Amino acid sequence: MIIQFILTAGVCICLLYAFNQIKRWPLSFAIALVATLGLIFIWQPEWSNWLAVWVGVSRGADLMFYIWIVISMFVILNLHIRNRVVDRKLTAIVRELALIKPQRLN
Amino acid sequence: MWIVITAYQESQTVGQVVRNCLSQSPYVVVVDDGSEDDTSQRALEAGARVVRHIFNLGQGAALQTGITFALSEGADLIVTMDADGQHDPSDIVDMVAEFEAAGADVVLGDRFSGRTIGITWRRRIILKCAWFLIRMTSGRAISDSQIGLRLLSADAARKLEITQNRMAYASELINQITRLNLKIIETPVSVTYTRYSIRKGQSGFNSINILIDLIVGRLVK
Repeated sequence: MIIQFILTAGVCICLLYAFNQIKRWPLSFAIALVATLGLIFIWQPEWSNWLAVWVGVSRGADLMFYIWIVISMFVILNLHIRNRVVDRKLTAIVRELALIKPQRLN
Repeated sequence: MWIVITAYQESQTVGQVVRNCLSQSPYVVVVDDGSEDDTSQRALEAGARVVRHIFNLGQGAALQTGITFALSEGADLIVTMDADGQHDPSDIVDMVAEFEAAGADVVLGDRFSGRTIGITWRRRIILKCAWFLIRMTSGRAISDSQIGLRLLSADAARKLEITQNRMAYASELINQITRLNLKIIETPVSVTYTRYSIRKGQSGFNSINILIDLIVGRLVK
């Protein structure tokens, strides 16, 4: 019972974050969706078993684990892409600085 | 004709490379990619112009900086070269002759049809992996896509834009050349591997990084 309250608090923070990021709608929608599903499965764990059987996985816990892996991979890819975007901006700045003052020995 | 040399921590070799290049063209620029040793100073003393990244970005980024600089100085031809001394600047003469004879946009050196001294089996495997990658991503069978010795016309250089900061830039260049329908030819060159250049070269695991960079690069606009 205690773990359900702890997980619920965590999920509520995720929902607040999604609400805060509402302008980035595809991301905030995805977070809100996952958090809501999480909330349902925390309080109705047997529903995850039913869903697991329905999609062809034997146990609800296994299904949650697989979903967690997929979500983690998306998060890593998203972070990597954002990192690349920042990298490109940094590269442009460094290049600009380099080209402002080319050196030559007098 | 401008010769663009990319260098990172190459204080041991860059001076001699610059001096050798100056015998082919008076216009030599070294892009110091954030070295913490005397690379810039050695290049300047040898007679090159130097542009310096304030921190290390990678060879692809350094090459684009050098090409942008050369174009801003009015280059009609741009030759790119590594700073570790593995290339022979006298090959540039043949590359220019082939470039003019074929009316090409880009000339790539080809170490496999030329002379390769001191290459290790590990390096051969890495280059074969790169060949396979290029074949997969661009559909072109370039014998030696990873060669640092290249010649670009100014028009081609203006059209190409290297966005891959690290080693995936070589594959990106071939992909762009294919997409832009630029005429590319390969010409035999000699490459000499020394213990120094092998130590500074890429590891086999880097092929995986290159693949990841290429995939993610396509996802980023």
